[in-house]
Amino acid sequence: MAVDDGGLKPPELVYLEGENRCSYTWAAGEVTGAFLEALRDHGRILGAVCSGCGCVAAPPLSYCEKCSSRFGDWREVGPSGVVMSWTRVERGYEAAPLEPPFRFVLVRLSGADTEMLHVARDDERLTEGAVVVPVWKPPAEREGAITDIRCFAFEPGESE
Amino acid sequence: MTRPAAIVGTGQTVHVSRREDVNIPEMVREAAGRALEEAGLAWKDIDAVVAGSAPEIFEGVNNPENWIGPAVGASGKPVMRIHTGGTAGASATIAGYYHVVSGLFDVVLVVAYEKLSDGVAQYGLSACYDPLWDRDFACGAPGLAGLQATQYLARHAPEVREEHGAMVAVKNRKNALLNPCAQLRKEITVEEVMASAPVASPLKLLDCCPTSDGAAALVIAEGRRARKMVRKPAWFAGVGACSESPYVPHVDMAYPESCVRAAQQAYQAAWVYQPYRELDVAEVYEAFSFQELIWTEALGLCRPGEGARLVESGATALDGEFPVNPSGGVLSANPIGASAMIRQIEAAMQVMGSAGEHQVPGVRKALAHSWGGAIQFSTVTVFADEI
Repeated sequence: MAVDDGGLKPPELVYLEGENRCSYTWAAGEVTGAFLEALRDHGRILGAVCSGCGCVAAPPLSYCEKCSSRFGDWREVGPSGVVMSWTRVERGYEAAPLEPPFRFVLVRLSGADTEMLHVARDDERLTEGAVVVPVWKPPAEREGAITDIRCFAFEPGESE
Repeated sequence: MTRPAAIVGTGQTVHVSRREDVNIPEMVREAAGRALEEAGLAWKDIDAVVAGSAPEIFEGVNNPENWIGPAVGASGKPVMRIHTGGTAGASATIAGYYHVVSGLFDVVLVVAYEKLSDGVAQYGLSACYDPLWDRDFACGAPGLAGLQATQYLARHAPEVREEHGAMVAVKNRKNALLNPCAQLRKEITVEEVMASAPVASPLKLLDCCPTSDGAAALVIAEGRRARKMVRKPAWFAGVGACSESPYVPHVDMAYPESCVRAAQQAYQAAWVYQPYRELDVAEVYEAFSFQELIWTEALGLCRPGEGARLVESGATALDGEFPVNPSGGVLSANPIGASAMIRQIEAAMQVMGSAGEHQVPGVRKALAHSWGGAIQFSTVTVFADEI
């Protein structure tokens, strides 16, 4: 049954446009800060060793997500790692990290027990079990972020 | 209510304007660890976790429970996140209480936090308004509280004056000197409040809360376990929660119905008939000085318009007949998502006898209040030393 609209015509203005304009300064904290400094200043990847179960987290955590114990010590991990899973992205989208096609990869760095989400240029050999290494930004361009590693690839210099 | 529940441990961080040594999950873990320690529990002893947090736009971290859960030992256990604006922290506690009184979980960890220094608080608060109507004006929190305070003063003038708001700020900031977790610990005078920079009339800078980084946590246990864990648990005697809206017809910001009704619910459950006589202390969410007057009235601690007399006479001072905000209140620290839970924690601490230098002697029943949204949500929790 049709709804009685009381003679109202559909209006033209049925939406309003808006946006959120915010910027943030996320405190990384001392443990994550040390990890980021090692990336930026030394091109080294540090794993956080759990004081309880000995699990190694990279990226690091100041607590263990497995056994809840505190951060124990640092242990350098990588630079090579194993691709644990991957997906090929064929179409571009807003905020895409690379020009498509590219791959998202989950990399478990040697010596680490956790996986790191990162990206790689599209290469059909980049599948689970592939051994990859980080492709670094030049030291002068590093800013202390996980993107100081530009991507993962088979060879360190491959992606320029 | 199917079975009794009590708070058996509480924890807070020291609230400050900017914490840089920890990130958000680490800050929450700090408070949670203290709550577990007080309860004599380890991370593994928790059956479920409830996390309260403010709007995501404040910190720009979406789905924060993704990281906060594992940081507080929730891996392999249920986690849910609760959000109701400024009442988020109290709503999270109430959700934890439902978990336990329902019989589904025996021991629940509830956490809440805010790291306002990671973002821009006023922009975030303004972004919380309805996008179709109010958001264009970026009213923020002082804008809303200024409208509320004007309505309140207009109704009760000339007996109630701007100085009565200032007296609340002076009292609470003095109490904060005794609270090691408070952010602003410096005594002020009525003259200084009155002379401080205008913000949104009648509010001056010292009528307003600071923005804070901080976290809070508490552990709720079912009755039999609670009695074994600690000598003096803080029992949930009555819990009330009520919502309304700025668009509700005949809305009254100077005597909010949601607050009145939440108090009625809590008092009925807690067998409280004359709250001023039967309760011993209250922690209310006064983000702005005048709000303490409004809440004490809407909570039935005095008649409308008499909140000013309470503060002026010293009745609500720490050594008064009915101390309000012995912790220093929200005026002394406001990690928004945690502030409503901090009111509950401080009330529970008064019952447990663990409030330290700002302990009120002989507390048997304590009230915690909070408000959130555009004075839209209200919660009232009554804790008692026996059930």
